[in-house]
Amino acid sequence: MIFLTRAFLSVIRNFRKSCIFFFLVLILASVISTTIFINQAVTDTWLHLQRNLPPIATVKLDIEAWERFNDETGMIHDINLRTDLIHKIAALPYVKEFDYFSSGIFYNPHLIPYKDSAVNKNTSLDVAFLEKFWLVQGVQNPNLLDIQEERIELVYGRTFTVTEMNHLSMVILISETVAHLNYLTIGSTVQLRNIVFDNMDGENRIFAEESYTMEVIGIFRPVSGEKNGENLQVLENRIYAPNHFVELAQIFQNEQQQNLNESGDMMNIQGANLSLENRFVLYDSQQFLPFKVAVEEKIPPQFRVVDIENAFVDVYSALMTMDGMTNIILWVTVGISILFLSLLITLFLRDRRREIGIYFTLGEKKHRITIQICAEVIIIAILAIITALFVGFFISSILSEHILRSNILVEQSIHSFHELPFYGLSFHGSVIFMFLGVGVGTILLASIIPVMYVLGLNPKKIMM
Amino acid sequence: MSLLRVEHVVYYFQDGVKQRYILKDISCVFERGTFYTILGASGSGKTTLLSLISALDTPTSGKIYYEEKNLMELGLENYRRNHVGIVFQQYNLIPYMTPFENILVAMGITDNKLPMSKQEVAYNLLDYIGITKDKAKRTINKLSGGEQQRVAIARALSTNVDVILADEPTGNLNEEMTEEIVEIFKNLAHKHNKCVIVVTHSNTIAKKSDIIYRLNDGYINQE
Ligand SMILES: Nc1ncnc2c1ncn2[C@@H]1O[C@H](COP(=O)(O)OP(=O)(O)OP(=O)(O)O)[C@@H](O)[C@H]1O
Ligand SMILES: [Mg+2]
Repeated sequence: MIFLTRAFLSVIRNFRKSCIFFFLVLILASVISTTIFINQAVTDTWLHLQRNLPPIATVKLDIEAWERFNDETGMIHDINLRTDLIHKIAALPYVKEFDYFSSGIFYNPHLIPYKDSAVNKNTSLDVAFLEKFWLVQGVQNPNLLDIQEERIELVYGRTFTVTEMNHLSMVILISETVAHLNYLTIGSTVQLRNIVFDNMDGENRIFAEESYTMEVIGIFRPVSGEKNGENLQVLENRIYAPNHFVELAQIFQNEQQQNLNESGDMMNIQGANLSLENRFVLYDSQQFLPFKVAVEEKIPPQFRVVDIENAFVDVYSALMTMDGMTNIILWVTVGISILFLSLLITLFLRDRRREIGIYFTLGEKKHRITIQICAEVIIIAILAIITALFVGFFISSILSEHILRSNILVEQSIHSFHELPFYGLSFHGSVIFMFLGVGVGTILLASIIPVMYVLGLNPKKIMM
Repeated sequence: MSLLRVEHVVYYFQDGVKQRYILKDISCVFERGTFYTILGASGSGKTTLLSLISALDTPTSGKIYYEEKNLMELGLENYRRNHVGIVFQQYNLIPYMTPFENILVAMGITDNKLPMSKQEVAYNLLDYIGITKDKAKRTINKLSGGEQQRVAIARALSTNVDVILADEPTGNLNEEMTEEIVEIFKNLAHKHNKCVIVVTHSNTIAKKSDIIYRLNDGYINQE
C-alpha cells in the first residue's frame, strides 16, 4: 500500500473528522473567495472605467489649494500655468499631443451669431448687447485638438500652419453656420475690435480700442453629439485663432487697463481675462495615473491634473477604499484560517499519534509521512475550496450589488458617466487561479505546525 | 558472525542532576533460528533494552551490531524498515483499517523483496496465524485482543525480516491464547529460521524458549 493510498483511506474512514474539517475550510474559504471576487470586481470596474475614459488630461487650478498656498506664503500665486511648464509636461513620454489655449473677447456688432432658440428663451441677460461679443479661442497646436478629438470637423479651407503659429498672423477659423449667416467664405475678412471699457458710471464707455482685420482660412462644423443646447451654441459661435494673436490682444488689454487704473479708477485685477487652458492627449487612458504623478511633481502646488471628464479621481478613491477594505478582510481571514486550521489539524493528529508511531516503528521515511498528512489535508481542502468558489461567487454577486447601491460616493461620482459602469463579477481564470493559490497556500501554511508536531513525536513513548 | 550483537550498552535517564542507570553494562548475542526470552522483574529495564535493539532509541554508550554493522551506521530508520519486526503489548494496529490493510501498510514501507504478490503474502500470513478471510476484512476494533495480537505478529512477519522483537506480547491475553502465541513464535524460530526475541516476566513463557537472558540490576546473564 503506497502512502497516498493511506492518506485516501484515512480521509474516507475517519469520515466524521473529515466532515468537520471540510465544513470549517468551506466557511473560511467562502469568506476568502467572496472577498477575492469583490476585489476583482472592483479592479475590473476600475479598468473598465479607465478604458472608457478619454485619454485626455488637463492641468487645472485648484482654487482651494491656491488659497491655501497663498495664505501659507503670504503672496498671490499664478492662476495660470506657465507655457514653459506646459512644454515640459508635453515632453513626458505619455503625451501624444498637446495644446494650450488662450481666449479673448472681441467686439463686432455686425457679425450675426448662431442662436439656439431653446437656450435663449429662458435667459435674463442682456442678450442683444452680449451677442456683439465674440469668443476667440487661441490655439497652439496647428492641427487643432478639437478636430483630432472629433469635436469639430473641417469642411472648407485649411487649419493653421506652423509658420502662422510662430509668427503673428491674422487668420481665423469660423463655423459653417456663422459663415452662412454672414455670407462669409474662405478668403473673406472679419473685423475684430479689441475694446477696453471704462464702466465707472455704470455705462459702457470706450476707453481704448484696436481693430484687426482677420482672414478666414477655414470653416468647421461641430460634430454630432451636441446637436443642440448651450454647448452647441458656444461651439458654433467660436472663432479659432493662433495663441500668438490672442496674446497680443491681451497685452493691449492689460496695458490699457493699467492706464485706466492710473487715471484714478478702482484696480480690477480680475480684468485679466486671459485664461491659459491646456490639454494633453495621452497614448493610453491607463497612463493617466502615472502621468498625474509625474506632472504633479513638476508643477506648483495650486495646480491639479484632472481627466477631461473630471470623474477619475473621485471614482478612483471610492474604488480604492473598497479595494483596501476587501484586502484587509482577505488577509485577516487568511490569518485566522491559518491559526484555526493549524489547531484543528494538530488536535486531529494528536488522536492519531499511535498510528503515526506505527509508521515510525515500521521505518517509514519522514518526508512520506509529511506528504501523507499534507495530502489528507489537501484532498479535503480542495473539495471545500472548490465548493467555496461557487459559494463565494454567489455571496459576492449579492453583496457587491448591495455595496454598490449603498455606496453613495461611487454613485455620485459615476454620475458624470452616462450609465453606471457594471460591477461585473467575473468568473475568469485569473480570479480562480488567485483564489486557488491563496486557498491552497493557506492550507499548506496551516499544515506547518501539525507536521512539525508529528515529526517531533517520539515513537518509543507512544508505543512502548 | 552473529546476527545481532549488543556490546557494553549503557543506558541512563537524567534525573535532575543525578543519572539513573537502567542498563549498566549489557553484552549479549542473538542468532537466527533461535527463540530468546529476556526475563526480568518489573522495572528492570526489559522494555528499555528492547527499544535499543529495535532502534526506537539509542544507548547512552556502547554499540549494537546487525550483521556486524553498527546500527548508527546502518541507519536506525533503515534498520527498522528492512531488518526488524516489532510486536507490542498494546498490539498497535491502525484502528480504522482491516487486518489485511494493516499488513499492506507495512509491506508498502519496507524495501525488502517479497516471495509473492503482496495480497498473497498477506492472506497466507493471516491464514498461518489463524485469522480467517472473513475476519481479515473487518476493521481492527471488531477483533478480540488475541486476534489483534496475531495480526500484529503477521504484520511483523510480512516485511520478510530476520529479527522479530516482542515486548510482553501476551500481557493482555489469557493462558490459552498465550500458549498459542508462544507456539507461533517457537515455530517462527525453528521452522522459518527467524531470530525471535520476546521480553516477558513470565517464567512459563521463558521455559518454552531456547535461550533465556535474565535482566537484573542493570546487568544481563544467560541462564
Ligand atoms: N522517561 C523516564 N524517565 C525516568 N525513568 C524512566 C523513564 N522511563 C522509564 N523509566 C524507568 O526505567 C526503568 C526501566 O523501565 P522499563 O520500562 O524498561 O522496565 P520494564 O522492565 O519494561 O518493566 P515492566 O515489566 O513493568 O514493563 C523503570 O524503573 C522506569 O521507572
Ligand atoms: Mg516493559
